[in-house]
Amino acid sequence: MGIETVYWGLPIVTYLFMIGITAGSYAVASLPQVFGLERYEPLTKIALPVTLAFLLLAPMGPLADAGQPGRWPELFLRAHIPVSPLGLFTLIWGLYFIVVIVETYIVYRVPNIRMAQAKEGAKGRLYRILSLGNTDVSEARLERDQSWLKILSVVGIILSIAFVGYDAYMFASLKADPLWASPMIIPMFLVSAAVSGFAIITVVYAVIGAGDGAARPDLLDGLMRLLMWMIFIDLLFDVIDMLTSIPTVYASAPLAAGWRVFLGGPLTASYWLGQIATLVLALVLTWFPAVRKSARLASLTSLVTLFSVFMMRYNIVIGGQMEPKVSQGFVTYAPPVFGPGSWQVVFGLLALAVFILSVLFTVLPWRNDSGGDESAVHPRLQAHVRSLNQ
Amino acid sequence: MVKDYEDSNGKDPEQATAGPVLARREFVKKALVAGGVLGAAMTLGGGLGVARALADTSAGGVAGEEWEDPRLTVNDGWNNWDNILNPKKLPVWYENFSQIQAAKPKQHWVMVVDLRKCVGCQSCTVACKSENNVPLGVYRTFVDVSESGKTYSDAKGQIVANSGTYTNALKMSNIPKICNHCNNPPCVPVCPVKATYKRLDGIVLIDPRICIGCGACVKACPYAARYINPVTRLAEKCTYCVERVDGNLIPACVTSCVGRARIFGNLNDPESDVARLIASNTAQIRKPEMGTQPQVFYIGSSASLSIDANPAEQKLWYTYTMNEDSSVYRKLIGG
Repeated sequence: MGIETVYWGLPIVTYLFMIGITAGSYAVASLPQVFGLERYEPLTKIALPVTLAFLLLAPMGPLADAGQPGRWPELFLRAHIPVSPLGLFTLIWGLYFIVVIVETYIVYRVPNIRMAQAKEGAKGRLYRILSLGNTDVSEARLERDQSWLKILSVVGIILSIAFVGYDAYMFASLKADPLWASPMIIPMFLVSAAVSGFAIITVVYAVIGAGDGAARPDLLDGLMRLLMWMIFIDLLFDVIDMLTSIPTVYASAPLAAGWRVFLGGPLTASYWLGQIATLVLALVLTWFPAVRKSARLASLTSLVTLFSVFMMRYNIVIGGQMEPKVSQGFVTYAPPVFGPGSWQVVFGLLALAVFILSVLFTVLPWRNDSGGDESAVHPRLQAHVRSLNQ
Repeated sequence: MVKDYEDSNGKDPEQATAGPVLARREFVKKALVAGGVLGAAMTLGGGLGVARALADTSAGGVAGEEWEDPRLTVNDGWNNWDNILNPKKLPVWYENFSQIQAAKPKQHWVMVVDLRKCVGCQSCTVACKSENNVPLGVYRTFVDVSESGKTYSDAKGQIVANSGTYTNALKMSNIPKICNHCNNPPCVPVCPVKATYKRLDGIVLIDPRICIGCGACVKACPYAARYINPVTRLAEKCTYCVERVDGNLIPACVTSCVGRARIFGNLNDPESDVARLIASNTAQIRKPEMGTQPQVFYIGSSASLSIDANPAEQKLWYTYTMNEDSSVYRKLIGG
């Protein structure tokens, strides 16, 4: 305890990590719809459940960190919109959640209908519920689905940027903390979200595959190339951040003083080794075509990247609070292993996310052979539906 | 928990023989089991820890203190927050604080600190803790006692003692710190649930019935005037002893100040002590560069109100208000 304490601890770090994954994986899911990269179509079906799982759990982070989590209804009833960055949470999260749910429904509608027709008993009922009793697989409906998907993807991409952006602004708006009140915070969070999204989808895709079977080297290669460029931009932003903060003759005095945390201060190793060195390592690894095309090496590289992104969240959240506002030295912080605000909570939250993801991947027919025989991904969808209708 | 983990991991002997498709399904299934058990156990463990901590703090009676619980209710005024925080139902602002001036308030409560009179005795700190039931480790007001420079041996020095002659270049400063009740408070608009507000008469308050303890206001204050109460887990800060001010009393820290270094009053009354002191002295405010327009004014010192970041330049004296979570303090106590 003391006049100055690190109040925002590991649950907030985990929260930022999760929203980065949510927004990044949504960007992957939207690659074919919004960015016109049709060949990533098979990834949409595995990227959306990742988005959904982490989006569901994201609010648990700040709730675990808040003093009175039982008062969460106040966030809906008395939301301080639009002046409080934190008060925007319910609005942005709610809209984003609705868009992701509806999009998941549309993407999985036809497979769910097929499963409902193929299975009997409780399983059939489950898929009838998942398809909301809908059995319309006519071409007109499929075209309508596609246009809705396009609209929702555009809205969703904007909302996902708003989601990460508002979280970054939550820090950037606190002028009392020179390390946070930086215009670089928002772009750094956005790029870092994309990095973590591409990385986690690479891991998921490499491990479970998608569509017709195991991970295709060409798609892995494409994902890793995107990841490489995102890491490059992320590192570029880090360098810009350093250039504007480290030289004491050019940086403002409070900012330069705050950077002592990373330059010989308590988070020196955490920043230079945990965040920067691992990201450089990942960038170097993505440069080798052999690494990009191998499922094992690509997912290893992605895990290194995810570690770096987690450390980036840690350095921003904890490091920002280590610079004292009214006293001397550094504000000390040692993350507890068990109890409130501890590594236990981080582990529990991430384990729950993996659990929800596993449930979604178990239930949702994300594989083309889920129904028993060959079926429809987008390019062959209509032909297949036609054969179904005959 | 460790046992659960080992059990769920060691249960699956036939995984090695499965083909690639089956292996992937197995992975999903295993992740489901492991994730479920671990997630549930971890969350449950954390939850139990919190519940135990809450039970500990709410247990009440200490051994040997068996007096009768008075069982005060809202009707007795106990925790009657409407009455405590705003009995006259003054208008309050959650943002757009410039409108307060336009509303022409009769009173605008400010504090003037005469640094020539402060001796750093921490009476105000104790009075505040007592008045407001502030838990150990956190403070609504405190006095930074520090020294810079030193007394050194000097042949031409003006201090003559048996051991030699010295020059005194030691400078002490005692600077009382308190919530500034800023006219442009950054802590108020960041509140996500409108639990904190600025009253028409300038006092910035927190409604403890609404606060969710997220800590945004604590982080937004450039003066570290807010804290999360470790017992109630709500944000708290100096209220200018609002219940005393509304009852025509002055705040506890002002009452207890031995040197009358703290002066409290209505700045909108030109005859008040505070108005005359500010008019006739050069007044300083803390961190003017933040644009917060603090309403606690310091007179009688030309030195900086901020503590030098370098402990070698300005040594903070060890008082019980010293920040326990500071690396400087840890060094001092040999941690």
